[in-house]
Amino acid sequence: MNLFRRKRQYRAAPSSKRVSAWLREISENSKDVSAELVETPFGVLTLYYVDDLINTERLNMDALRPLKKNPWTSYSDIERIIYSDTIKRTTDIQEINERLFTGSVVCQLPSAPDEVLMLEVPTNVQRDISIPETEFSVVGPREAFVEKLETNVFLIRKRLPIEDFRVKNITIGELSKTKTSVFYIDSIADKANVNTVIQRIKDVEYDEILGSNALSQMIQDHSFTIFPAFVNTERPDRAAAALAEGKVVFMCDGSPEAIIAPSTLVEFFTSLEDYYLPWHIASFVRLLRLISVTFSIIATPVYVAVLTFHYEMIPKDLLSTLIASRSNIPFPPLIEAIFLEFTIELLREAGARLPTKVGQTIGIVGGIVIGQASVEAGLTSNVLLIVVALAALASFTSPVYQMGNTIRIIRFPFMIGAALMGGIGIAISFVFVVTHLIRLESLGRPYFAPFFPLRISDWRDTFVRLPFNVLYKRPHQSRAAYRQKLPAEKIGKKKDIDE
Amino acid sequence: MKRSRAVLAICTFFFLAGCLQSQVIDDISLIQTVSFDKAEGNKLRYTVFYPFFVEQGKESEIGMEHRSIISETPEEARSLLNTRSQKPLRYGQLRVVLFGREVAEEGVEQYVKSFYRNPRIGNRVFLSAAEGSAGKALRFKEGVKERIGMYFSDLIEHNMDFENIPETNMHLFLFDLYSDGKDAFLPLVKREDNELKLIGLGLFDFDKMVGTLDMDQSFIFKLLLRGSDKGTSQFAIPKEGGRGYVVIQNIFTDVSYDLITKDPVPEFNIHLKMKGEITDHTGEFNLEKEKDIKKIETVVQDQIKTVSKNMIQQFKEKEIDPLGFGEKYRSRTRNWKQKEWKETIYPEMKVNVDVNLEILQSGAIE
Repeated sequence: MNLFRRKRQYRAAPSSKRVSAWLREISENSKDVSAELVETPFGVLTLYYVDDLINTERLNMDALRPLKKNPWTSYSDIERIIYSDTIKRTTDIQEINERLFTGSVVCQLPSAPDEVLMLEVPTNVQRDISIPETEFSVVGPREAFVEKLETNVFLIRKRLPIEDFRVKNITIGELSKTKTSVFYIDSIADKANVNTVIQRIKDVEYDEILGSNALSQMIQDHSFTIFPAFVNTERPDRAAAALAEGKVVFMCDGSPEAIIAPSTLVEFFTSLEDYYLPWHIASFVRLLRLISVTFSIIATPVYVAVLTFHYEMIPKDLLSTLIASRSNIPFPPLIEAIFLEFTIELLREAGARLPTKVGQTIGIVGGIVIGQASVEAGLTSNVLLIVVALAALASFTSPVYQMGNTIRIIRFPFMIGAALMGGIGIAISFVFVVTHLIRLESLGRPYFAPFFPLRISDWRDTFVRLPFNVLYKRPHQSRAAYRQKLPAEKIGKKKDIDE
Repeated sequence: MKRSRAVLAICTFFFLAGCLQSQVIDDISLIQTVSFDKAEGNKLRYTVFYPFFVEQGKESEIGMEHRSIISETPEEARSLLNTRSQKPLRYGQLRVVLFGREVAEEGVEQYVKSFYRNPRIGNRVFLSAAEGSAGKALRFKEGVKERIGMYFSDLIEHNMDFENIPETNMHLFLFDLYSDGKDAFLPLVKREDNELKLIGLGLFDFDKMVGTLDMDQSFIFKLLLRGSDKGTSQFAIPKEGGRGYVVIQNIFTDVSYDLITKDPVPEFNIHLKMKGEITDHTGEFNLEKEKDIKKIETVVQDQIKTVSKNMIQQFKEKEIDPLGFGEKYRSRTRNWKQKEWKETIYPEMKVNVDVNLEILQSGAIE
């Protein structure tokens, strides 16, 4: 039993060693850590750095050139000569360890080998800011987050150039040392929300943090739920908009996604494009999304339920079509439906894994050939083929990818419910889902708002998106410190141009 | 505790599902039409019509099967029929119930109630009476044979929606049947030369058919019953050396009943405000002239008036009240006594019909 109980944990470098010995050791152990002896007219010094992490050009310009020109004898001389605010003198192995591997140069003088100077000259390797992939919108900015945290901070900061916008940095993960930033607007965001996010992130003890999405799963309120707790976005404008609503946003270095907390169910069906388009169109699109999601969940189960139990519900004109299409299918409707749903899921997954061009081909080949063939082989009815294809299409309308996945899965319990008990089965599954949603919390705030608890005034931006002069309040759910988005005396007044 | 309760709930869901009987639509036969006829003894010949569907791609080959059996009650008949059919017979898609004349005259309440009680059967199923044998009326060798179930219900439905048959279904029939001051009616069909056609209405005294109306009467009956914005009827107009005809399509008709006196006998004034369009005309009138139109209006008004009066007289003689004078009387007076109404007041009651026809147009050409 001991074998399993033994606690194995990542050990940080021992700090009992002397700094000089330790530095020599790691430069021998790891190929990418260089130890370079630099000769200058005023003496010799040793530089330790990780080749790929530092910007050699800047090292030469900022550090080596002044050192060769100006006389120096000690660490304090060097500190004076090299003009940089990141330069630091330390004897702490722990600190050297942390900074050496994040792009600092360690500078060691032979006269005092156990004390070192550290200078940050990180490389600037990063992907260009590109257009959003999963949250593409036709109108609106075409910037997406990248893998580099500093760039992302800049992307948000330039949308909120105010003192109130705060960034808190936390480093988590024993192995990954992931730099995580928490953003909020101090005067608007609820203190409790900010503190909860920071506290939860600090409490994470997992050693390898893969990124924002993994972290968001670690700090969500209920880990068993199938519903994503926080909206994740790759759009800086969405993150900024969320901050302005009084929410807290956090993201990890290395992942191009920001997590917005707290979130409500409805936010997963809103896209920032809703605010760029005129409100009538935005409302229509939003309603379309909500209807299509409902359709996506309900369509196949209803087919199964009606064909298995409620034959009396079929309109008389549809009867012959339905029966004729099913007449030589050897399976009960449930098997038929699961077979098709499974095929669609396969296509979707295969399409997602393959390179873009092959993926498209697979989609077409699979969709048309398999669909048509299975109808002709008498394995599925063509009515169901249409229903399933439509439902699959409808499930893609959710602007947040995670929610699309949830919808994709949640259909199956509904389908089984429908096959077991028909309409009552669907109703029971529905009740299960709704009670679950009512119980869910996101950062301790109700997830099912504004339906439960009922917040009618927030419905202006729920099923529909009303014009901006009506949307003058931040949603209840984020508990913003002040809710008005307009000066109070301007609310309800709209100036026309010719006034 | 909480978790075990959840597990229990889910288990119950699964176990209870075993109690449910699934009826996959292609594994059952869906009865679309049922007919009742008298048979020897006190028994009933009971015929069901259900479609059978052939393979996909050959939908045009939809077939219709019918089976008949002699039995005492409809449910017993169904169970007996099941012993002879390939797939279990189910009522869920029932569209029309047709009663043969003999059955209708003997009373249909028990049979209708049996359908009414069945939760799988909607309340909007059509009931209908047939001139002669109901089973024979529906048994076709060719033509509409394939889709008789659909055909028959469509026939009644479009005549109700656009033509001269007043709205009727099982719910309305039973409502009228059990109503104190109203009697029921049903559409009446007849088999004629390998064709099924609607010939009018069957009038019921409680659940027994006692009289009929033809299609022209049915048009006016429909107007008197609830007003209508549908229906077409042909009226005769005077013409030199014979008769001409004018066909009037009803555009909108409003009917109102006024109880002008209660003592000693109640007197109803029926105002029929009708707006119509002349769709056809074979007489000599010039439809462009206001005067001629007025003449047609007067002639047609008088005809409607006469037909209405005769119809109401006929109702009185048969002691039935399909127009629901009783209900109207009851809603305007106190101390309703059904027996008194039926035996003394109704036969004495006076009815004046006042028709006001306004012809709005007579076609596009003119």
